[in-house]
Amino acid sequence: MPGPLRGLPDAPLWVLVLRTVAALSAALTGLWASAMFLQYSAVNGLTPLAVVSAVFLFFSTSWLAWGAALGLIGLKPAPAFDRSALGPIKGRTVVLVPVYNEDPTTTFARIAAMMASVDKALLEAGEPDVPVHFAILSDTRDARVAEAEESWFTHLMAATAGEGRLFYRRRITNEGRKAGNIEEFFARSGGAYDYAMILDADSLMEGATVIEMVRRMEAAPGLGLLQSLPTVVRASSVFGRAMQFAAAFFSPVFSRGLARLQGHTGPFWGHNALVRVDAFTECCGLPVLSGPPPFGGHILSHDYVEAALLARGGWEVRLDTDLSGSYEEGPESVVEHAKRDRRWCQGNLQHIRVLMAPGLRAWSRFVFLQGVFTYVAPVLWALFLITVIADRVTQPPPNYFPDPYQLFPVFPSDGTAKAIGLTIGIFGLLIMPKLLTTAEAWVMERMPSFGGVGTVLRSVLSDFILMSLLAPVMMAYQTRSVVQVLMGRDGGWPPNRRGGAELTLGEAWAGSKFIVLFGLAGLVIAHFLTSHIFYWVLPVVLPMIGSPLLIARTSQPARPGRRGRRLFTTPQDMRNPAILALHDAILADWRGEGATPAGTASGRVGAPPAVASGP
Amino acid sequence: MGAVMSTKVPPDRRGATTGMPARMPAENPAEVPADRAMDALAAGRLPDAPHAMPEQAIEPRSVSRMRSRLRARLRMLMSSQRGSAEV
Repeated sequence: MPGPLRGLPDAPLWVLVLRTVAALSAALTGLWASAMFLQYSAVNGLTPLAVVSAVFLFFSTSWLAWGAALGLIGLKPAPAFDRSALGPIKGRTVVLVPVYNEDPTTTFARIAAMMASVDKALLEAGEPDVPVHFAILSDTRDARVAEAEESWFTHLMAATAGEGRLFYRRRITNEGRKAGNIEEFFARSGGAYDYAMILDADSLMEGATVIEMVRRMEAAPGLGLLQSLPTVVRASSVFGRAMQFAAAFFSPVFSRGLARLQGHTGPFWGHNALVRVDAFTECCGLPVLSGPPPFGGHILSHDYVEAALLARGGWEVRLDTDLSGSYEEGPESVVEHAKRDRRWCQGNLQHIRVLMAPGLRAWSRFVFLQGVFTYVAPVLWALFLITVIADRVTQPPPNYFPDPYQLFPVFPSDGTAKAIGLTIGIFGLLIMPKLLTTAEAWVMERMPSFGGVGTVLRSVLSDFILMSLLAPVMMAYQTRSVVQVLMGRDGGWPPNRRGGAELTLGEAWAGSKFIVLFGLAGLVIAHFLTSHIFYWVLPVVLPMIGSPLLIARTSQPARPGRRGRRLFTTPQDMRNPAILALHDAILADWRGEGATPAGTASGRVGAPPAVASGP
Repeated sequence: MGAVMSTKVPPDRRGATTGMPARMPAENPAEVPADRAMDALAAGRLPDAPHAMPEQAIEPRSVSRMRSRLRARLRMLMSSQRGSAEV
């Protein structure tokens, strides 16, 4: 059954115009930067290397400008969602929780909290009989964790009185990873449900949000997938809290910009999203790509592909940025972030194989290209720096007396003003959307929920300093990831390490020594071979040389502070959401009744309490 | 409580993954009676309501066509080689 939107344009005309304007602005900004650079380089004669650098600069700056355009487009607040068409729920829903070597105590306590929250929301809505089931889909390979899962499931079942609506199964093999896990569920039980909420093991959603999303999908028969905007919560390290603040403060604006451009071809981020089972099963059976990983084999970043396939099948994929009550956890250290990024990098680069799939919407192809560029852009920046240094090294020394009978020296023209102008322009692209978002937060009175004007300004400034310091380190990690993937190295499927990720200096050194070595090499080359650009490369090479210190320090717990005065305060710090509080209470209850952590792979998997108790 | 855990996967569905259509029972999900699908719930098992998930064409036609042509040519080449060795 084709989706209702098959054959129709994927966006209204105004969206197509907006896309064109945004893309043209980005390209023109890139052209401006390249032209400035070429003018600067041409002062003393243009070299082939300078032209190559200008090409790298064009793509890198266009990419930055595209990000800035998304921010600008998202500044205007979204109109309130029209709820007049929403009615009582008729369909059956299942909440899918795929797990893979996770700590079952914490994960299953999340499920207990969500079950209680859904029940409460349905009761308040006067629809207590609406079926919402929960299925834990385990792909766990560690036998001890699997054993703990089974005993914690027994406890969860008793605690929630979940018979008939709570299920657990573990696959014998985990072929196809998460996508294969979900697919196996649909192949076995998909026919029993109309909607499936796909979560991650660290996802938490308010029951009211789950119910609201089901209502919205029922009201829109052409909607195949509804994505919520998950808020990062529970970060405790300096790095984690900075990322959490950025996600809460800046991301809604950028996501709104994205949502305005995508028309009916929205994103799927793999979790905290509701799918229409019929549409998903009809369109999203993923093939195994020919050839070995990293480019062949199972599709790693399956979510983007599934969104594109739904759109191809004539179904709408929508991101509703107004939905609150959707949470996830994020990495707590640069190293954990880099590990996740390695996986995403491989997944995004693999999309090159899918880019020309038959029948895809143009926007879907653009989204794949965008994903590829997310990881190629840092490489282009690195190549730009390398070619600029190489150009300087290979240039002959200036000839102050070109004329043999010349009395006074001729000094080479100084293009420093142009270089400074270019640098300011590029920094402007980085800072401007953030400054405008800060202004938007002030106008829209979002600041009190982030601790007030003073706390927000301190947090924005700290975020800028921290991210500027970490940018060269991230660039190094991403460049390494791209090189590894291009060399055919498969990153595999390492389990996520959640929570407590404090790193010692030794661990940080082990994870970043290649960055230090590259930074030192850059410093030496700049000092001895191209002394006139020495100071220009310092902001890049110094953070690289100090990366172990940066990584170790930012993985430490953030300094506590008074409510509302603490750096990187988010609305969840000001007021703990009900679902998080409930999860905390359940977890404390479960752990307080005699659960003793047993020595397992993660060291955090405990046995369930002997006596079952309700949340 | 062991009964509530449907950890036993039927042999035909073990590790069932992206090659789904070949391993799927030829049953139209629309024809699965809701009562039957839900019978399993009472026993604490996942509902027995299979849903077909046909494999999607993703690789560009030209590439897959080229690849299959290449494979066919290789096969031909191999068989002719074998033939000549036998002679």
